[in-house]
Amino acid sequence: MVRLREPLCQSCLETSVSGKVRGIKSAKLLQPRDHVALAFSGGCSSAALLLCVLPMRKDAATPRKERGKIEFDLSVIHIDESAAYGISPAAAAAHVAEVRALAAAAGAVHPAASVHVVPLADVFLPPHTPAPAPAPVPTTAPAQAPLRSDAAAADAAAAGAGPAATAAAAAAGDAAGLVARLGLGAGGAGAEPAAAQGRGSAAEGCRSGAEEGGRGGGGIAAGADPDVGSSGAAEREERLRALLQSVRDPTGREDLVRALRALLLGRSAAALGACCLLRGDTTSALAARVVADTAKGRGYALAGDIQLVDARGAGGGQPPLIYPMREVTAKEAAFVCLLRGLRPATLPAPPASCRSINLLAGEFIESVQANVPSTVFTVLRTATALQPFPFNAPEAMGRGGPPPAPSERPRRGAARKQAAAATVAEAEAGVAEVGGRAEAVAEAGAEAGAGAGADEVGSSGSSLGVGAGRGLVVPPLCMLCRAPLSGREREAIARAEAARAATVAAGVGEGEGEGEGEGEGGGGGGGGAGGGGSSVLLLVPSPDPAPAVGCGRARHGPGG
Amino acid sequence: MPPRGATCQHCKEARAVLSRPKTRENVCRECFFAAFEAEVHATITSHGLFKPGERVAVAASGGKDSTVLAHVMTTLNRRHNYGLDLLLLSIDEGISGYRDDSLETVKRNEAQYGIPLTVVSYKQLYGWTMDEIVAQIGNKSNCTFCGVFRRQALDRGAVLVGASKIATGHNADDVAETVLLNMLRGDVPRLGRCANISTGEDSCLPRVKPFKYAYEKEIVLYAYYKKLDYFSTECVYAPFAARGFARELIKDLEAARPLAIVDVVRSAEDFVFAAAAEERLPSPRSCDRCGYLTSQPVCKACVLLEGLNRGLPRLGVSRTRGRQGAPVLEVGEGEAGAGAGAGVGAVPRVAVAEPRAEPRAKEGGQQGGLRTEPGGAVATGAAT
Amino acid sequence: MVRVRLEFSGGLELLFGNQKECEVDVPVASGQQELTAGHLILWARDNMLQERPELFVKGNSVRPGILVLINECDWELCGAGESTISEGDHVVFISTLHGG
Repeated sequence: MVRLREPLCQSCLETSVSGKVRGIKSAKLLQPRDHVALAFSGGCSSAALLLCVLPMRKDAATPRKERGKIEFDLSVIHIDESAAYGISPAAAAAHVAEVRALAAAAGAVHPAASVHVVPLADVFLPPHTPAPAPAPVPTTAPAQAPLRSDAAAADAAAAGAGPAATAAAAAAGDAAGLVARLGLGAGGAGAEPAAAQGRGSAAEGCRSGAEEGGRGGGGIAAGADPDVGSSGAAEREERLRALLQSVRDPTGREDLVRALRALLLGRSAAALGACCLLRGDTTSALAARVVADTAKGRGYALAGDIQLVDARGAGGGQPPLIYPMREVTAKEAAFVCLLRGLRPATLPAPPASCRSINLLAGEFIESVQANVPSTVFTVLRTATALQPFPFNAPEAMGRGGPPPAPSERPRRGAARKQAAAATVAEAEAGVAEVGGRAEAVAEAGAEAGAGAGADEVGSSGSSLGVGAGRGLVVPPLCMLCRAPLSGREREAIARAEAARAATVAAGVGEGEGEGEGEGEGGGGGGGGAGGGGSSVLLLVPSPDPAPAVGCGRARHGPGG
Repeated sequence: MPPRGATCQHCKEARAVLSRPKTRENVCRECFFAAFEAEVHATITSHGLFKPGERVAVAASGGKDSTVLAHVMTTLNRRHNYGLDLLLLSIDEGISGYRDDSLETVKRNEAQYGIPLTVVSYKQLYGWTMDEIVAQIGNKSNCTFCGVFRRQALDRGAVLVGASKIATGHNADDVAETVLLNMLRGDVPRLGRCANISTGEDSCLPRVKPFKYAYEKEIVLYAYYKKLDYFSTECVYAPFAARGFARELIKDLEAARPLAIVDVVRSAEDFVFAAAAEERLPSPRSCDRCGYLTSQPVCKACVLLEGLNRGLPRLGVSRTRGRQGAPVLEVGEGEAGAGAGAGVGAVPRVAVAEPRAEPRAKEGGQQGGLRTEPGGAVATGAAT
Repeated sequence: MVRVRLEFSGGLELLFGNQKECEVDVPVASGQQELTAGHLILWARDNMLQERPELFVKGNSVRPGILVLINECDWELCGAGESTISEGDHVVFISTLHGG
């Protein structure tokens, strides 16, 4: 594959990618006898992560002297989001089967790993409190089984007094807060008096969120009855759809799904007794997240979202998140899968009518990346220069010793309210304010997070290589081992390059067309320098191509 | 024509003419004017941008932002008794067909707002007009010259007219765009301060951005509804020079969620960088030749001028990478972006002669000991 | 046919042969009862625009950053691309993308 314009052969690529993933072991984030959960979407990134993690595992069958392997249990968790998109049960079942097949093809089979599929609507089930004893690990049944059978937690929640109830309320607040925040931008392009309605829906969101909490509590008691299982699932799905429909802003809806997914992943991992949750977010995904978070006004929380370790959920019984693919680009992940013959299993989600901030940020990063292959690293590295939170420190994972005490993080501007309720109130008030805006509840949660003085964690050496010159024509040798590339490798490179060329070509001089991101494509076109032209309003005729190139180079002039 | 659309959500009477991007409120013309002005006033007062009695130079290009700024500043100064001594300051780059026309606009503004105008020309300051520079160097890199010269020219002009502060028309869209650009370039120090409402606080000539939270859309509509006289042609030498790439994203984001622009600005305000990033800031000093504040022995304008005067126009142009302006769209410069965040940008890549003068433009620069005849001072330096 | 007064400013006039204002007769799209702003934009692109359509339209609407006023009113208030354009309406396109 081509990384930063250097060709690599399959084995060097895999060595390089798995080397980065293995970094979590050298950083002692993964230790013998750990129980590790892995978030598995069915996409390339999580599949590549799974491919890299599995060989790190040692079991009875492993030859004694094999180096570098450690003993750990691996649970692969897939959140089935089909209900969120109104996908037919048949298609949803087919998708789940596809995901399971992919996981199996990647090697996640008994006893190496167990695979769990959890419907997104299960987020409405009461959260599981971490039991002192390790929870029974089901091999085939979904993770909801231990959740429901936990009668103690159910009683506590029903009584409205236990830690579970607190967590339930927090969760409901979380969702409601998100809705509230997103309601701000939810006017859509319609002609309705959007501000008022936005606020209205935010308030509604809060109410329904609160009800959710209450009902959640009630639902647990009933949860002991095995009968309720199926009808309850339908009701939860309905509730999920209603919740999502109340958010009209596409960005908000996406973020809500993400938040619910993250919540459920964490809970499921906790229920399985996992000590950490590995996520497959690549450099590309994190770079896009940097841009998207910035555009959502999350500048303060951003620093916490993109580090190798994110243990902010520790207080709420959620396992810490680890991003082992942080130094791997989406392209590398895709090539790892492609060369191993793995096809990503993506949900046939209906296309959104309006482009969300997340989508725009992703397209933006992708198009700049197409021209400057170091972009994703630059962006992520820049954001990594932000002061991380204490919960980003490896110590915050709670290994050896008590969790570090909360400490104040310096912040510019006024002090923020930390309580979720206050944040919601702030959000509503913010509408009237000049440039008012609300912080995500997650951020309030973040501030409450605990930890000690932290520095950025074990980011291993950058994968930047030496630029291998321009005008690449499928070179015959691997840059690293100098081995000739196989026909399949060459073919893969050629296909990817052709696809890229097509995208770029489509971007240049694009008049109309429904194509996504043609503007960015245009900016990225023309091999760099002159390409920016089409994304700039050209007001003066300048048919001479020479100044175009020159000014692309000079674009930093006025920018200074 | 029968009235269409919604009623104003403020006065509940007049027909709404626009949907405010920040609040999504539908407002009528008068309520829009009132709200826009009130918000700028709030920005000015809450950040303490001005002190009573201050002599403030409003940077006036004749374009929409500066025209609206001049109008709003005049209005607010009168309405709220800021007690400011306002004046318009315009830079004449010497670009025929572009600056000629816009200078006419600025001259009309002088009469309309009743505040005095000073025009400082490149010719006067540097001995070169942009037309002459382009004639010598061709169309490449001219924006580098212009940008560097203009930044200094404003400062010099302001000192010349005895102003103690410069107000510029940068709006929220501009700031958001700069934030994204600095992110793409990996320019941590600049990312940390590009969202500041006031730059160069520690020096005697700060620059302030009263429109930092004002949407470009509202500025344009304000000018349109007020029938303000502004000039809207792009510089003839810079058809591609705008920072269109990030601009495109900003406008797309605005379409997806109007609040996004101000959210980018707010995010940048909230960025807290680890201390290491601050340490890499070069310590300011005065240019050996002209006395202008710079991080290098010789400021960039003097380097560029020397090149021009010695017939080596590429001097100081070809080797700026990373920190100052990584060529975002250049291919194959592996180090350009990624390395910059880690400080690689501090090492200049010498492409032409004269390795000593490292050409990093200064930010928020001003001149500590600027001599009163800036033109002469520069000319002396450049003549060597 | 609907008679519309069009105005281009903020630099957009340069894409339209430097004409700032004009009156045009715009046909209603086939199968439609009324002229919509969205159709007007595509019509102007096909019949009036002289260069660089990508600087005026993106997808089926104006590029983000170009303001549209229908009878002095922000078109977002009347349904953006879906807004109905009637006989004698005054439609203004202002680019916000030029220097300032």
